Amino acid sequence: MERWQAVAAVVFGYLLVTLAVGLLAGRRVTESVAGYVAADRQFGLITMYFITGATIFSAFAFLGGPGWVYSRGAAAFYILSYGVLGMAPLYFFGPKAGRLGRRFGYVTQAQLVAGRFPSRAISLLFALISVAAFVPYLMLQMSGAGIVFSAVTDGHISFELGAALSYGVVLVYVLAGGVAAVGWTNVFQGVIMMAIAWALGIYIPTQLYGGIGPMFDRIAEVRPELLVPPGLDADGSPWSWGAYSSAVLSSVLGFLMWPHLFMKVFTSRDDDTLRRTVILFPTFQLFLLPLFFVGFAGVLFPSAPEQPDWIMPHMILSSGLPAVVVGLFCAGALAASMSTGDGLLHGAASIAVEDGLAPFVTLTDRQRRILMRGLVIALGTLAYFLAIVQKQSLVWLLLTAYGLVDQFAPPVYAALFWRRATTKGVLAGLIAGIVTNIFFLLRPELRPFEIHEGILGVIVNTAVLLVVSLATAPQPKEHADAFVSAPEEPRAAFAGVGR
Amino acid sequence: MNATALSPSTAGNPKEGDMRAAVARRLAIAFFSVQTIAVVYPGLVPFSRIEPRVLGLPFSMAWLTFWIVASALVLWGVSVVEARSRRED
Repeated sequence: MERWQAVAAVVFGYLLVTLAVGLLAGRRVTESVAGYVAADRQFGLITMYFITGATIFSAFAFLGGPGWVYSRGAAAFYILSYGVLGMAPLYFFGPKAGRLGRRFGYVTQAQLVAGRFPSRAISLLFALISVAAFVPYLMLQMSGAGIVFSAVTDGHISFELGAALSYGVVLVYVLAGGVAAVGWTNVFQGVIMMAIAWALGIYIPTQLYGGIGPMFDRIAEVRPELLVPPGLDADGSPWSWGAYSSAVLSSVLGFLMWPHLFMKVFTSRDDDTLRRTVILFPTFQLFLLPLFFVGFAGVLFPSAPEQPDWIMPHMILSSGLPAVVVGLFCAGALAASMSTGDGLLHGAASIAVEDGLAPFVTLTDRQRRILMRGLVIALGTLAYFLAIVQKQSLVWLLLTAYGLVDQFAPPVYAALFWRRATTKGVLAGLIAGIVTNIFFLLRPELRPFEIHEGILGVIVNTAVLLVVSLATAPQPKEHADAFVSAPEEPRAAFAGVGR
Repeated sequence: MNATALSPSTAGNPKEGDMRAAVARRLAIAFFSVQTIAVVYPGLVPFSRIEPRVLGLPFSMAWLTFWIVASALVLWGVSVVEARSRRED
């Protein structure tokens, strides 16, 4: 058996186990929208921990992270900073949002916002932005899977076939099991990702330089500019502090606003589970370190990959590791890609139906589930063909996506924390934020201090929200209180929740 | 938080736990605000350096890692105080 065949065998083994886990898990939930989208709100700590971790760390972390370190040095450190800061607010507002979900039956972020601010336009805007932001993100995950397959099998399994195989598996278990399948496969995928990342991150620097310390000694001598933020720009010139800092801030703000992530607050069993998930999340965040070590190990390595994003497979293939280990790496990278891709696919379909269609047409529970499954297939196919045709401008698309998602932050925080906010204020702010964001995206040279357009959009969004809300009639007190005061009676809310 | 602010409590009063929880939450929010400044411009500038090395890592990388670990400890601390205040009543 040739080496690439052994590698492929390990990868197929991984795909089969994932498929089995997904299909088995899907049989455990009820046939309902709450079952398909929120897993009957029954996820415990272990599941929530790995779902959150595996959903967040995607092919971008596994391939893009080391790729950035390799080509741009400490610029990549921004990825270290935003995760924990982005996640921490969930400790404070997550339990409240989860309780509102249980009380009013919400399964999506837009339902929560439109529950506080009744407006079909808000619901529709959330649905449109979510789907627009998910497609490029999904394309990135599919490209990641394709890259890994074609790199480790020397092209015997093509980019197109690799992406199709891995996302074929995702499609089957998402269709069959909904979020329960996503959850349990993510537990399995999360364990694989973490184990592989730490093993390789320590092994490769030790093998090549005699340890992590000695590796940094060498880099500090030869390329010291790579070790201090803000690092380098894509063209090798120094990156600006404005761009570095606003990359951190824009990601912090947008982090929890990604609808597929936000929706997970509706899947947790109770407040404590959600809190513990947030507390444990930094341990998952630390797994970026070994991935960064592999990127740094590549800096002084004699040969270079075709593109920086290929540094991870390049290092693994060049360091003479046995085929089984290469196969396991491949499984880890696929796990990172698929565990995010499945959530995106499932989230996009759920949101399109729940927020884009349900407010306008009457649909039964069963019709909604059928539509969601149809959209999973349609969106998956669309993203796949876009990923194959257009591989270049993904970073641009993803940055666009983050700026748009940032615009959800003011409405969500206003819904949960500001009694005086009004529907007109939120809608006007949202539209102003989106327009500002798109304007600076198209005219980047006009951005002050190279500040990310998402942040500029949020500033305008918040200002308009404040001014228009104050200029319009306040909401009835009981209505606003039901949303804003929810956290102050935690004991009352616990009463109805069984363990 | 308003409910707890209204109850200046005495020893043995279950509301005392509520107040401790509110203080813990405020301290945690202060911690995350400091962190936000410490990991971007200008807070990061003095720490954006290679020496001194920490466990082999460049100082900049160790600094950012420190905040990740500290965040976990702070959140864990708040949750302990909150859980205790819930048990008291």
